[in-house]
Amino acid sequence: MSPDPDSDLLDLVAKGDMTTALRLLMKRHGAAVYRYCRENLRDVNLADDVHQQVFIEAHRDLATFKRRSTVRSWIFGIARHRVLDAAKSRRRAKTHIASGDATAVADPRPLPSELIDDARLRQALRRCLDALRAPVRAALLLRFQQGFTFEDMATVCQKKPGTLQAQVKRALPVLKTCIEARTGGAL
Amino acid sequence: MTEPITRPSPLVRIETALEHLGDEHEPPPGWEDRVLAATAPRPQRWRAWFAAPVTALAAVLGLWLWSATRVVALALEVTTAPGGVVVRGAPSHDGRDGPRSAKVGEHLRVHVSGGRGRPIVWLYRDGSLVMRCPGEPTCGHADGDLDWQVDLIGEYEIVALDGGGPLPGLSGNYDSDVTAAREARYELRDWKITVR
Repeated sequence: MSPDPDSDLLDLVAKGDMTTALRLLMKRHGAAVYRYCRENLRDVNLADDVHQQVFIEAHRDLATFKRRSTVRSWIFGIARHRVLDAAKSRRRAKTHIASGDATAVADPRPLPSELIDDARLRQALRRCLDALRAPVRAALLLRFQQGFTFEDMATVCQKKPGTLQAQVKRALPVLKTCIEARTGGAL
Repeated sequence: MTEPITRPSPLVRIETALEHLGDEHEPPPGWEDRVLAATAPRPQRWRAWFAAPVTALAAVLGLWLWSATRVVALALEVTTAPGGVVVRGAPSHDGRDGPRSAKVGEHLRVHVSGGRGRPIVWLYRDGSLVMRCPGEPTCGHADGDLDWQVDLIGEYEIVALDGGGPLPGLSGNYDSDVTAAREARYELRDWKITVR
């Protein structure tokens, strides 16, 4: 395993300087973890809470970090768990709400021959990601948004790399079909 | 002839879109301060609740230990009491702290207090041992108590001793016994009384 780019952070932990270590952790990974939480949960307030909770939990557990993975994988492992928990709680709270909510409003569609632009693609992509199961959505974001290898993802998700690769491979055509159906345009 | 514009495949477009998803989002201002505030060590109230009774208990325990281990100074108290014989004349007491003389037939009552709790009393007449407590049937019920009816005139020495170490065997001679006891680091109190 290559050396952890965050080994200096771990040295601070070893010296007991937890506050400086936490500052460094937030500086290096705060924005990426936030993007992951925000796009996964698609709820600003919930993402803010979960994002902070991730770093509070990281601070609590930093002293017992065993260096079996990189700090980045470890922090995303925490983030993935907290996001899944939050999504599950939200799903339970929303079971009584009818499925035909505001997000189902159709986008203004281009002509079938017209290519959809990037902005519309992202908008449709977000809605199609919402339709996926939470673990699949997490896998796609970790792979593409965060650039994790399948091996690193295996550490984060505690699944086999092959399983995650197959999950991602199956999800991409599903997204394509969903986006095209939503936009009515060609990708 | 112009080159045809190559379009990325739909899946590549999705992957690229995924890569940039959320690029425009930044964590809310002040989030780091909020995390630091949430993780800052705070005074734990349970410690105060726990510390007060523990401190009180420790103080009581310390006081008890101090009083239990504190050695009260050895004290020797000698009094005289009339015996069966009617004694005529002036009272035998001639000192404010206790009697310095007694008459034949009177009782010498000795009480030793303080020390480490097991006092020893030796009684000498004219320098020779006549009585030791504990060890004699006439010794009082409590250690350090002695009631002795004097039947002979002479110079009496009452010695109270207290100490933790082994005491050398008695020679029966006042001077050598007292010297040996002092060398054995015994604490001594003595009282002289003349019996006429």
